[in-house]
Amino acid sequence: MKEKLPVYLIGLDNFNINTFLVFISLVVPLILIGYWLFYIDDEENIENDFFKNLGKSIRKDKGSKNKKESDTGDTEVEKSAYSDALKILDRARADSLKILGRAQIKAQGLLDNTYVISKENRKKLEDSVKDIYEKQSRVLDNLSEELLDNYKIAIEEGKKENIRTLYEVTEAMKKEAIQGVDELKDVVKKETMGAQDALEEKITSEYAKVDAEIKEYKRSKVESLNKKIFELLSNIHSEVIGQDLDQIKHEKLILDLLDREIKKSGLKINKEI
Amino acid sequence: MSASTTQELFNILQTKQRANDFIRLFDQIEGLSHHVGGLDIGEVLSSIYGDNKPDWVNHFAKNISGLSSGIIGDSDMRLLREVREMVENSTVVKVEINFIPSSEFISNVISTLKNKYDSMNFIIDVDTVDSLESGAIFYIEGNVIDLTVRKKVTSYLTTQDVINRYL
Repeated sequence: MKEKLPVYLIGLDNFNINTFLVFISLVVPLILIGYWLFYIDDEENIENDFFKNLGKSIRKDKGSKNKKESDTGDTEVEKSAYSDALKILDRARADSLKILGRAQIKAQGLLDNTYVISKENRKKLEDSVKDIYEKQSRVLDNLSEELLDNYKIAIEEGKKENIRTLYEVTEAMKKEAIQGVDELKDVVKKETMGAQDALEEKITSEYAKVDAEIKEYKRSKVESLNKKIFELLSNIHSEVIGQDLDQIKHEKLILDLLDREIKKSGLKINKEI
Repeated sequence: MSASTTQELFNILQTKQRANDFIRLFDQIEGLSHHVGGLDIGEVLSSIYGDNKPDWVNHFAKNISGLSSGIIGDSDMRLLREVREMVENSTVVKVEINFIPSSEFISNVISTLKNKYDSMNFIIDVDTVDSLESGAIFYIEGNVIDLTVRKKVTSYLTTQDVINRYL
């Protein structure tokens, strides 16, 4: 984590003091040459305020040049175009001077700093950079840890949310399943009761039918039995009595039965001596 | 007069009706025992039975001469009294039957009973019950002998296991 610096610090180690000195040595002479070309006639004011004199010299130069051109007596169009061109030129010049001034100020500052930087300062700078680097590393570590913590928290919350969602889904499924089962139970109950009613009705109908059949069978059976009984009694009568009775036979039958009964039973009579 | 004559006269009576008729005659004759002279037996019989003189009277008259002449002596009265006593001491057998039985039937019933109970004398009390089924019911000294065909058939069905045999 601490091996690399942030992006905005990449290349700072290449911009060392030697490079800086070479840069200054090229820029400063160019600035001085420009200054000499434009303000060579105002050398007496050089020792005064450099920036003030620089503006005055430009206005003086422009006024003197306008004066010379009006003197030439060219046409007004030409004058106007020329005037415009001069204005543009003046503005460009002023802008360039401003840029140069700022560059010079920065260069001057840099030069001053350059001269001030010593080995000790360089070490401090390096230490500062190192501190910044370490601090940045710590910040990044903290940020990483914080991000990790946040990520963990987010994961935990997500997990909890998922669990809660799963629980809710499970509960919903459970409720739906129970509702489905209840509905199924109601349907089954309804169907069962309907089937039971139909079954009871069918049983009742079948029972009535069977009852009628049994009654009919009973009636026919009784009728048949009666016929058989009559036949039986007739047979028994013929077997016991033997033949149809007139009074003589009837009397004989009674006498036979009486004789048989008395012999069989051994009748006891109190008057018997 | 011998005991056999008395028994013979008793045997002629047979039924309760005839025995009662005999007792009525005996009572009438006994009541006239103080009568002087002979009795007009025909008038006496007419006063008791009217025009329906029982047939047994003729049998009695053959064995008891006084019933023919109208002069009833002591021996005759003694014989009649013995018969009466036999009637009083006899066993009355009530018979329920759905027709009027013949005298032969009555005689056979008494003979049948005498075959079993030789020492006893029986008087048959016939009760004609039109609603009775075929057969007869005998009541002898508190015993009931049901000889109706229904009873016999039922007994036959029960004792011979006819239901299982035929059904």
